[in-house]
Amino acid sequence: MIIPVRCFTCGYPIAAKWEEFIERVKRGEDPKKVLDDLGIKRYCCRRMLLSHVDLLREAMYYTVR
Amino acid sequence: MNVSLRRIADNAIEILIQGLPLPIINAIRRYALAKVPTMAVDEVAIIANTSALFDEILAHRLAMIPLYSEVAIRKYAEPPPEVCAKCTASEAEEKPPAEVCKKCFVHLYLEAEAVDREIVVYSGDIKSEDPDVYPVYNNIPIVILAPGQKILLELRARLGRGLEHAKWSPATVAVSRYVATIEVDKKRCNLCGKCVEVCPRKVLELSNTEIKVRDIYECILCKQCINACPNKAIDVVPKSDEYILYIESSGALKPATIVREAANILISELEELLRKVVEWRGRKVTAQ
Repeated sequence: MIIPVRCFTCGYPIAAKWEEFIERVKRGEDPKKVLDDLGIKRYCCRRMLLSHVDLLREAMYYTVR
Repeated sequence: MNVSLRRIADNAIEILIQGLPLPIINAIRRYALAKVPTMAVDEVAIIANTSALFDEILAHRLAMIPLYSEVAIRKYAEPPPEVCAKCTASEAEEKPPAEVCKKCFVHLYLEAEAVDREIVVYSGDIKSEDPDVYPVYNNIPIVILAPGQKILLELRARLGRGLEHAKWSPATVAVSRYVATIEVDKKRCNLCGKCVEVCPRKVLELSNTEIKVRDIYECILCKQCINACPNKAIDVVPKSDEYILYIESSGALKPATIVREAANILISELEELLRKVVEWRGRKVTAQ
């Protein structure tokens, strides 16, 4: 839905780096390089950003009032 | 005892400790995870939430946001986190008096409304009543609002310990590791360089006459070099009196503060034990 605030495994606050990550990846940069630049070392944190799909942007239009 | 700083950054510290037993280093490590208090949101009053996220998800996301706690661990030390925990416990339990509980909490507010276009609500939008307690990172997305949706929340943060819930744990990583000694048997070594090739940390170096160790503290004792050596010339053994303590902070406290507070808590608990033992001196105890 929305990027989890912390890494599920180690608790590192990955959400603080989400926007920069996704913007740079969308611009065509290599995700590996962006993750290295952001200082995300562990593979538990890396998968959090790599595998995330921001579905809330679509789902939020289907709420019931 | 010899202690030296190997690396220090904004969010991590690596200390080399010589001459301190591993159990003591392990106690500091565990206290860094479970006992050093930090601030975190513990109660959320939902006044309005028409966003696509459930109230519970919203409250959970807010709880995970690291709050700056360097000042708060002194300012809100009384009443202790254990008493404050009872203030938020379910109704059935006996609560401390209201004037005690009042001192536990910092109030924060979050209000956002999307009028004609999508907005992302960030941790930086949280308004705090106490200038010493605020979200460490301003750019954590909390929720995305579609046009017409709004949230209005009142958050109550308090000191707690990782023991109670991981959101209060100041350290994301706290590990101790061994320091290696690498021994190369010069009689057996034929300088084939296979150990140099296979080492993931690039600890070894091949010179014309011998295998050299570049930085012993980089060795993680994976023993790949032992497996790769055709002549069994190399051996890696852990040192028994030298360890590396690595602590990474969630941002709530500086890494050095985490180590200091962990050691302080450990010392004060040991002192209490000592006081009790001294009290018993000379007292006769009949065996049960």
